[in-house]
Amino acid sequence: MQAVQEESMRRVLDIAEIAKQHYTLVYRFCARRVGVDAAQDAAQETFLTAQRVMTNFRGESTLRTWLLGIAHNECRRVSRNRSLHAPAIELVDAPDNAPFEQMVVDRHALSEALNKLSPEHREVVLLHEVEGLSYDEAAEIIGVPAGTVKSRLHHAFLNLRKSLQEYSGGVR
Amino acid sequence: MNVMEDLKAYVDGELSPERRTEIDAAMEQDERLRQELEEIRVLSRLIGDCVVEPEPVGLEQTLKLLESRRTRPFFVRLFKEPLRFGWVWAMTVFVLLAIFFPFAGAGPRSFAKMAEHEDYAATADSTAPEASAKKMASPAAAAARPEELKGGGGESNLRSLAKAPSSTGFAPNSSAGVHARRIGAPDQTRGGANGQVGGTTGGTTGGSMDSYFEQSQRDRNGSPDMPAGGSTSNNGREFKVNTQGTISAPVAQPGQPPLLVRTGDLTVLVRSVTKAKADATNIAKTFVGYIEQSSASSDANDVPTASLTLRIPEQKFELAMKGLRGLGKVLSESTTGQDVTAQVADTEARLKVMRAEEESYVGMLRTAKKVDEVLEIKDRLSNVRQEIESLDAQRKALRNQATYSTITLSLTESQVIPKPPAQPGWFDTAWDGAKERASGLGRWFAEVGMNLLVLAPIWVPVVVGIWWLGQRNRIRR
Repeated sequence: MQAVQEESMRRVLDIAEIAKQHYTLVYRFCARRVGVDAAQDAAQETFLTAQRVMTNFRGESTLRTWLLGIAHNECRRVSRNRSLHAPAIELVDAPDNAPFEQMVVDRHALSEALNKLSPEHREVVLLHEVEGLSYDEAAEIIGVPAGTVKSRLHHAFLNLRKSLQEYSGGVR
Repeated sequence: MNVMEDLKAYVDGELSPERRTEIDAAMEQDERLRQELEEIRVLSRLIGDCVVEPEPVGLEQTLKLLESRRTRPFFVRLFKEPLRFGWVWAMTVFVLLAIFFPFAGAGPRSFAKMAEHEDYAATADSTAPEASAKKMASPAAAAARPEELKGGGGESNLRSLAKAPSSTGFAPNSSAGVHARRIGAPDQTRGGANGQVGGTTGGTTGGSMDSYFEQSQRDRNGSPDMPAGGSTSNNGREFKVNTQGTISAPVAQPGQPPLLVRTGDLTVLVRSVTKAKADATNIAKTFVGYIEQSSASSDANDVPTASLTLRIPEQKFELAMKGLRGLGKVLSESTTGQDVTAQVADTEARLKVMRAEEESYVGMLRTAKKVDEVLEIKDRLSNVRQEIESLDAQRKALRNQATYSTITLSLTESQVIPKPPAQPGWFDTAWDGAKERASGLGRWFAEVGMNLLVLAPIWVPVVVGIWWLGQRNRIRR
């Protein structure tokens, strides 16, 4: 019975399988933090680190959270070593059927507002709004309490709305 | 609690049901809250929808890399992943240091150890006999004790002997029998072969004084074949003991182990006299023996020599000889064994005769009427007692010699004739140079490591502080 469990665990923890399943998530996570140019290296290092410390994974968190935690540290290391600044958050183009002027203005304003956020606020916005992590998961990755994540999100959205209002006021 | 602060969490569904109910109630009454909530919801959706999802690249490379890491040989991983296998490198450095720096080898520590041995040996030399005597409770001592109790020469003992000769007297044993035959052989005037005691007492009580004194004098001086005072008995035959330790002609009484006085002479060529002395002392101690005598000197060519006399229990003689042979190259060796069983038996028998004689004198002294007789008896009694003391000492000495064998060990240090230095080849020169440089480098690393370790309380906080400040500034940037 124990051998069967070990075999299934080994299969689950097969690093190649994990990489196939989570590479996109990790790559995008890295790309938003260190830029597309360094994202591949950061993602690669993330999986290599995961392979090295695989035996330490006790299953107390989800595999996704664990990997993003490693990726978070890896991105910080890459940023420090290469003296990188956080890349601008890019938004997709407006759909064709939307009112052109309004959508361009909205997206431009949103992009400006997002890039004006402090690193801490930007981090929680990316983790929760873009990567779709819960407060607890985001808290685990950046190593702060869930209450802090909640507070930072609240203030991040205040700042975002304020920036957007200023932008719309300026445009008018 | 401020409802506005929880609106975002409300949108995200991260609030407890109670708090959600509270916010729902607040929103029903406040139009502005509902508007805020809608703005947050729209903004949240907009961010989620509009942020670019970069197209991932490099999955194949990552998979290949992961596979290669998995199948990489150990020695390759040592170089490719130095941090992970830091312990291997640390061990390697340690081993190299150990090779080039004989820290724990024959350095000062071993000299100190040797010095310890010296001290120990010196102490052992001076204290061994006492310690051994205590430890051993030697058979000789044990054998002597009852004899001392029986024939210690005290007046009370004599009286008790006189009163109850049958109970404490001389049980006819084999050694007594031997002695009786010897006495009986040359002097036919005495009674039967086994009747020396009865004959003596009979003569004392019934015969003339003079004839008795003459008889006793003859007994004391001994017959021609009787051992006297420390002289070698003609029965105490000397014989050689071969190297295997088998004795060619042991003389033993039936049911009684033979008493052998064994001696050995050993001359050994050793590398270091000091060390060999210490080893010999240890051997003596191992076999519960002791060093009786020890001396060290140098000969005319300044070659150190030493001489030791070891006293080893007779049963351990061969083992001790074997151990001493192992000290170096044996230059000469001889062992002798002397069976002193008969000699001891003779001494003991004579002792018994003397005690019987003493007893009879004591009896005569009690019955003497005249002053002249009393004085003469006292004079003769004194002589007999002196004789008893002498015989007793002789018997003890013989037993001691038989209990502890004597080994005389001569140590000579081998002289190393210095060879003329050979001209070193290029390889030797290069090798020596490399070793010297590696040794210097290793020493430098060791010194740096030790300094770092010792000064850690100073530099570690400084480094940690600088690192922390750097981290904090970076985060702020």
